[in-house]
Amino acid sequence: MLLDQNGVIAARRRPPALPLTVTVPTAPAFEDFYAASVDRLTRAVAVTLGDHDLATEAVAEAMARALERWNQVSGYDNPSGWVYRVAVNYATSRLRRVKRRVLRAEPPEQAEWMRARDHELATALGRLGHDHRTVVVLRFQLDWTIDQIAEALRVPSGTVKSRLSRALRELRRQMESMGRTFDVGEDVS
Amino acid sequence: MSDDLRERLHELGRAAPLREAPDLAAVRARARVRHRRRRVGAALAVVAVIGLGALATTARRDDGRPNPSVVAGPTGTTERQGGPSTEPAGDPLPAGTYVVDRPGSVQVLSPAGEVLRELPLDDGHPLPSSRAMAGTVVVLSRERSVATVLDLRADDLRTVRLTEPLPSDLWTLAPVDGELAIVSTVEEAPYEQPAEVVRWSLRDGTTDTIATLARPGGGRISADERGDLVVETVSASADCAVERVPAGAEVSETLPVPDCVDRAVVVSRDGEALVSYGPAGLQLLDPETGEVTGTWSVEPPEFEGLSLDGDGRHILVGNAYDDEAHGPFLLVDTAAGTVTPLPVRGTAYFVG
Repeated sequence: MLLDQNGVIAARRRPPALPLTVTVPTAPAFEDFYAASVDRLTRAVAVTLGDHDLATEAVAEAMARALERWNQVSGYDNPSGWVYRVAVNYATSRLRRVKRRVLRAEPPEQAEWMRARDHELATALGRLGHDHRTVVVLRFQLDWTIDQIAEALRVPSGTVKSRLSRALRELRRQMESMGRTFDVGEDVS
Repeated sequence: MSDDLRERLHELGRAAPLREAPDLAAVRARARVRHRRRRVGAALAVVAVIGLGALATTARRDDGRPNPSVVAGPTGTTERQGGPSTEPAGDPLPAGTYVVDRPGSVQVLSPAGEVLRELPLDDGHPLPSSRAMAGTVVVLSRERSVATVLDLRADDLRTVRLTEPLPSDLWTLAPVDGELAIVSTVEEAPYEQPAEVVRWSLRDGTTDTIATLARPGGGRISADERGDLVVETVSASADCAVERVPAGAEVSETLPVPDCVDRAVVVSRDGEALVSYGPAGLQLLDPETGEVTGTWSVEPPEFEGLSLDGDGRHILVGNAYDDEAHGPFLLVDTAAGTVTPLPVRGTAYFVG
């Protein structure tokens, strides 16, 4: 079982089978996937939502759902993407039921722990729309590829690229208004 | 502090004061609880069928008074008080015909669940986004930039390229200036200004603003067949509200719906009632007074997503946040007092 740092199956190609040898592809064990991905996913959902408690609860719920149907989820190219999406959906549903403030109950600019660590970035992230904040977190915090993000969000890669481009432009504008800047170190696409 | 965005985001993530992630045993326990809850939910649905049957037989509200929305007719059949049926005479679509989004297609089903029409979609959208009204089904493309319009009465199928994609999946169909159109709310981050109500023409795909909400935010939107709109406004700075935009009005008015934070509210097709779903169950509300005129206990309480058919007799209650898709659905017959679980997944709307 090969998982990269994102909990994504890193190698799907099997070695050439010997004649008369039957190679059965084995699904990664849920335990390994969980150990490799739960912390990173929870932190990413926490930055997306600005609510660390809700993030922990949402990822735990999403992991339980992944476990229920692991035979299916483990076959996805990016099981972490599935868990991220289910966790954010679950959190959205919880917020709607509790407060009906869709993903804005505690935007990142208002989350104490985020402001304490990086006031400017927390403020700038909080001023992005949810879709834009999500692609920034997935691309730069989870280091997912454009295609992995597209699969996780169920949108075309072109949409991810355009969202990312607009999100970075807005993020830069917000940071510059506070006298700060940032670089992304590479071609974002 | 570093200027590298990746490094700063990693630092931000590491700063999250997370409780210790639940161990595997806890996750397994949660999965077991979910499994049990599903089984209990199925049992409760059966109980609800029995309970609703008794409720409708007496046609009384929870407070013992006759239910003004569902009354016994002179021949022992039932009919809905209020406006006339919206179903035109000779309509080939029986009341209760509904549309379901399925992975890869949109299906039109009879009240009995028979597939009357299937519209295959090849844009790779895992779950289409469709709405239905007055015999017309509209399906949006994956990027919400192309509308496929299926007129079931005229048996006509066409596509319309929208000049601007819809910004969200919160949209509805509504008659505007005599034409069926897509209507949605448009708001800009940080979502503290009142949203604009925008119409997308199904004739040429152009957009224009038809009204502005009186309160900040935008949200779930529904319409009756007269063109009145009901919008749940959501914003971080103000309490949520249920707004009505009468057909042709430029600004919304706030409806007297209490506790809207904890319920989904849509307007019935005839405009005579608001249908609410929340912890109190499924309710009909008087739109003028906010008074509850009927209550049904439908389990499980997480269900939301509502649609009324053309004569206001049936209500579809859907589960808005399941894992892969939406569903399953309950079909509530308010006259017969029955609740029937539908063997479908997807989002669903009545078209007849």
